[in-house]
Amino acid sequence: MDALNFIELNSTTVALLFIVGFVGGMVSGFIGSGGAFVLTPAMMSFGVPGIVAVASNMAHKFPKALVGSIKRHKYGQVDIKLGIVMGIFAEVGVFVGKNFMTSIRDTFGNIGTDLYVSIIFVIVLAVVGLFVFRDAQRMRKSGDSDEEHKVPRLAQWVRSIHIPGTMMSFKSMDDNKVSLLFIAPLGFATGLLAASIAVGGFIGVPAMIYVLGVRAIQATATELVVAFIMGLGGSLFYAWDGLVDIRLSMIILAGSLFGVQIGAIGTTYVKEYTVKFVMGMIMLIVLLSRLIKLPVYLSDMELIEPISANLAGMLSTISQVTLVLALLSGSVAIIVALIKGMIEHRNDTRRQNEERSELKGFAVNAADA
Amino acid sequence: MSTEIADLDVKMKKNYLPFLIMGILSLSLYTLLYLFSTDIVSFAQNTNSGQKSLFLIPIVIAMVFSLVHGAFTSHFWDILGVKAKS
Repeated sequence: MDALNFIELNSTTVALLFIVGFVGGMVSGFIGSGGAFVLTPAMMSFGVPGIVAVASNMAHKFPKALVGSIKRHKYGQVDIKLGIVMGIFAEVGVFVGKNFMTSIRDTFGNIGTDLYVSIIFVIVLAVVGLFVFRDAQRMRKSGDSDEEHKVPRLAQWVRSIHIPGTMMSFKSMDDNKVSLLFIAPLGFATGLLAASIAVGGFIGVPAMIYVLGVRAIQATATELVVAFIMGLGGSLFYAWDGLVDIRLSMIILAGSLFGVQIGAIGTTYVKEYTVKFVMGMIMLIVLLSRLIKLPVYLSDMELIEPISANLAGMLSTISQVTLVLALLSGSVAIIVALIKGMIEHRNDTRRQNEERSELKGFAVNAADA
Repeated sequence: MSTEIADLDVKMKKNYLPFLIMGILSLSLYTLLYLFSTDIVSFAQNTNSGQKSLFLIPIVIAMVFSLVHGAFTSHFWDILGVKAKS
């Protein structure tokens, strides 16, 4: 087994991690997902082994999920029962996923976990990124960003299946009963993905929306409960093996808590399809970055013909530059949307106030006359 | 007029006081993290090599930092006037 090698921290690394944390946080606040799909590859680009990157990302995500879920519970958006039930099954997925990661590390070393994390990233980002892009395009074409909630056909079918002894009702499904046998694999898959790449929400949220028929706003809020349960469990599993580099987690947290709030504020000024476009765009650029780095990992593991050190160095640099491009384009898009939205909102408010005072003046004049 | 100034003063104190307290607390926590970073790495290495007595340290650090720094950043943007659309 490889020795536990945490990276050396100097002022440049700390500054870069803070910036990456800020941008990752901004992206996660804006698109409502963990942001770990930016942070995990970013940490790996600094030389952090895949398993330590995933473990350290989990450690700063679960307390944030707790804070977020309490906040959204106050708005009445959280289905605690569904969150806990899915969270328990997700925990099983995390346990299996974490054991799988540790066994890869024991057998193939850190490079094995790097390759595994990268492959899962490429598959998930390709599937979800394209799906989100298509959904955004559909919403823009129909010009309908606040569609009335329709229970998807798949969810209607799931709700119609009655398996005695396994049925449970949930408020987010308008008190309809659903078999636990449907919820179990969804929770398990969410946990498995979370333990593999530290982003379980890519499965959890779409599963709740399309398979169980939960409204998007409730699904993203309930996902926070699931994220807290599996994040805490996952962090404990990884901490038990001493794999959490808490220095990295806390530096990233320092930046990401500033970013998360800016991102969340930004969503209140834009249309839903803008959020999805930004999400899809970042996902696809991060996907490209991982794809470019894959031959290096494959060569290191001798799964393909070894590539020269020069070519490996060049591919690593291109991969890093692509990642920076994803972060920059994402953050620029968010900041522009936020500033534009704030200016428009200010102008609208000013115009409304002027109209109101004109009407007031008119009413006073009419009364005097 | 003097009541208005007093009101404004109270409002300012209301906004700035928690911001300052949380800011100082957050800064102190990060200073401690920096000062003890070598120990923290060695705790992780010991845990990795089989001594599990301090495995909970990262979890406790994560919880405390999140609560304190989270409160600080929330006040920070509020004070700068960057707020959600009402």
